[in-house]
Formats: sequence, structure tokens, C-alpha cells
Amino acid sequence: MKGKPLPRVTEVTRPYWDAARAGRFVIQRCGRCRRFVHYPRPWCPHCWSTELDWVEASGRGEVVTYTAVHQAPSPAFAVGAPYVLAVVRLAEGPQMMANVVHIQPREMRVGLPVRVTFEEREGGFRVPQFEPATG
Amino acid sequence: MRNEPAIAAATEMRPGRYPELSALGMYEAVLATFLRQWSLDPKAVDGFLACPAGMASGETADIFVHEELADSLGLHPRFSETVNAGGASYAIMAHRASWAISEGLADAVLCVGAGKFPKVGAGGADAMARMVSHPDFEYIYGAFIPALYALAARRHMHERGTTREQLAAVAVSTRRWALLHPDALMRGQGPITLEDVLNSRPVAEPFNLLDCSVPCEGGAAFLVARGDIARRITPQPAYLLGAGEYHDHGPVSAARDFAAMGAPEAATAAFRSAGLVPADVRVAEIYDAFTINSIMFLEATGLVAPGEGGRFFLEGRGAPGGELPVNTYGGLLSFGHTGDASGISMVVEGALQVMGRAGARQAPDASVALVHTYGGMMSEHCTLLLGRNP
Repeated sequence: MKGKPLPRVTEVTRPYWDAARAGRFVIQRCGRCRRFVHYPRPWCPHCWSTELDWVEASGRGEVVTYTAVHQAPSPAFAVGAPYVLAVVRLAEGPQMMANVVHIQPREMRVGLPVRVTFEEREGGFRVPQFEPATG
Repeated sequence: MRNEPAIAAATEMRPGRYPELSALGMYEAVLATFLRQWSLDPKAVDGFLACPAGMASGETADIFVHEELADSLGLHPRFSETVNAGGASYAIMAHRASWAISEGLADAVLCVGAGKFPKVGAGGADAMARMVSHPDFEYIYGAFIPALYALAARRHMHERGTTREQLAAVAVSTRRWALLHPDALMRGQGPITLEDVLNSRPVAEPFNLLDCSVPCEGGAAFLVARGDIARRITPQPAYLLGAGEYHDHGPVSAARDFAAMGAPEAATAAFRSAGLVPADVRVAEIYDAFTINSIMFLEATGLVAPGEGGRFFLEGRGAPGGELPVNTYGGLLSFGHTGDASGISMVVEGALQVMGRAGARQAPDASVALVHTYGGMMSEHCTLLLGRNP
């Protein structure tokens, strides 16, 4: 069976995926207006500066919304169904999608504090995920 | 609006599965159905808008549809293009056509859409997931269509107290309307109850199978014409009183307001341009890929107060005989979701209601209809207000 999908790595996103391989969670920060940016892009969506730096993020956030997926879109995800798909608001501000792992779907709630963890994928990829931040 | 643009003719093909037809073949079938119903003079049509063919079905998206079809129809329009904003494409076509007519760029604009929704099994769900989610930052997490909408539902439930039963009530109400439409896909399945929805198999919480629209194939065409031309075609056209658009997030994880998305901005603009208020609306046609959408966008367009949408459906107020008929053709939930063409169904039905041509499902008062559509993952929104008087 084919494994879970891998991201395409582009010139813009390479630092994100390289850091994840090393177990580090980095996001972009605008060099002009100092706001944080995610997903990665060549410009700041707030001020259109093209000077963006990669910075270590706290890896902390909270669940904005979530679902438990019972009917998976492909066999690779059916193995783990039901799995939790969520939108997390990072402590730095931007939102991102991820799975919340190490939790039963019925224990999920909006506002749950979470912290980053990494999931191994094929080809040495590590994909940022979130787990409940206890303590 | 100047020149009183109005929908003068509208026909939707019977939704179903048409394996013998290619994406372009679907367009031809839709247009042939339309031409058989309305006797129109090709010389009177000087505008033509179409949607890309074959996107959702995974055939290469054909972006020159307007050229091919206009030529085939013997048209040489002075206003023509292939328009794409997903499900919002068709309300946006009506909006663009009304501008063109208002500004004297065209007198009569033919708008058409045809689509195929891939079968969810056989890799269809995965292919659709790839198309509607961010490939590198969403798709890799097992995102797919019902799950992405479930994110909106969960947030709506959290913020506004919407319940699982209230979602089910939308499916029940919408099915009741479908039973009145001779072409609705789920008509033969008969009525459903709250229990049927609650007991159908889970897809992505809080959605069960009966919270999801029904994938199929189909399409429709409508003609937007200058008022005097429209009145020569039909005694009661559906005047375009106002329209509003708002193009919000791309990937759904970037949404700023999961409970409303970009709908309030589009609706506010539509009401402002029409000089109307929500209390003027007598019938509503709302893009309903999932049960939550009817609740979200009934609230977001101001037709009911925030947090009241769920109760509205549970009390049957949007069902046949209710105070504000919603999705009178049976919705994408029970009429059928025709893939690329889905967003044309509510434009056609809004027009037919206002024109008084909706048969057994005719709302008692359809003096003003609101049509709300969106494209992408509730990303781009277009609201139309149609009425009996210009």
C-alpha cells in the first residue's frame, strides 16, 4: 500500500521541511512588520515586504476547530481512521492544519492547548503534527 | 440597475449519471435541453459565458469552452469568456452579465455550466481532496471534502450552539422540497427523518452520510437580458436587483471566521446594491454541499439571527409551508451536486421561483429571492437578489 502523501518541496518551503527533518519547527517572520507568516510564501501578506526570515516557533498553539474522520479519502489514511484533523492557531498567530495525535477523538475540544510533535513519513520526511500539551 | 437586467430564461438538465457524455458532451446536452424549452433568436444573443469543462471529473480543464460553444451556437458575442470561481461561478456570471447589460456592453448574455462529480470511491475522493486542499500543507494530513466542511460545522456548533439534531433537520427539510421536484435525484428515495440522518454512517464528525450532498452529473443554462428584451421572452422575468461578491481565504485552514467565512460581506454588498434588507426576502436558495451550509449562510446573509439557523430548520420554518422556503429545488443535498456545475442550480431555482415557474414547489410569495453561492472551500462568495419588479 502507498504510504501517506508527501509534500512537494519548493525553493520557498525547503527550510520548513529541512528543519522538520531535524526535529525543529520553524515558521517565517517578516523582516519589516515583524509579523509571523505560515504557510511559507515569498512575501509578507500583511505588508508585502519580500524580506522574510525563518525563526524557531514555540510549537505551542490551540485548537480552533477539528473533526474526526471516519471515511478516509485513501487507503493510507483509512488505517488510522477515525483520525483527528484540526486547525491549530499557533502561539505566534498564524493558523495551520494538522492531525492531533495521541488523543481519542471524543476527548477533543475547541480551545485544547497543543504542542508540536513530528510524524515520520517515507523518504526521511518528518511532518509537523500536534498532541495535547499537558503540563 | 440601468437597463433592468433580468433572467429571462432558465433550464436545468435532469441530474444523474451520463457515462456516455464527455465534459463537452455534457455542455451540448445542457444547451440542447435549454434551446428546446425556450424559442430564442440567436441574433438577439450577444454575450456568452461558460465555465471550464472537466475540472472536477479530472479531465483536463478546458478553458476555451466559451470559444468552442459560442462558435457551435453560431454566436459572435461582443462579451464572452470562460469564468471560474468554483461553485460561485454562476452567480458571478449573472453579476458580470448584469454589469455588461447595465453598461451597454451586451443586450443578452447566455450563461451555461455543465459538470460531473467524480464517484467518491475509485480514487475520486482522493483526487478531489488534492484539488480543494493545499497540496503541501493540508492534503498531507488526510484532508478531504467532508472533513474540511466538518471543520466549519464544529466551529459553528462551538460558537453558536448549533446541535447535531439541527444539522439533521436541514437534510430533512431539504428532502421534503426534493419530493416536489420531478427531476430531483433523491425523490425516489422518499422522505427522511431526523433518525435516518442520525443513524446514517459517520463520514467526518459531526457529519453522517445524509449530511452530505449527492454527487452526480448535470448542468443548466440561463439567459440574462435587458429588461425590454426579457419581457418579450417571458411575461415575468426575474430582475437582478442586486449582487455582491467577496473573495476570502484560499486554503480553508487560513479562514478567519469558520462560522461565516466570507458570506456576510457578499450579502451586505448585495443588499446595499439592491436597496433591500433581509426582511424583504421571501425565498432563499443557498449552496448546500453539507447540512451546515444552509444554517451558516442563512445566518451570514442576515435572513436569520446568528445562532438561530439550526432552530429555524428544526422548527420546519424553511420547509414546504414554512415562513421562508429554503432550497426549494431540493438542494445539492437531495436534488444532486453536479460537480463543476453545482452552483448554477440555485441561480436557476431562484429565477424560476421569481418567474412563477416552479410547479408544485412554487413558494406562495416569491417576490424577492436571495441566492447565495460560494466556490472553493467556502472561499469566494456571491449573493444575488432577484425580484418580480425591476
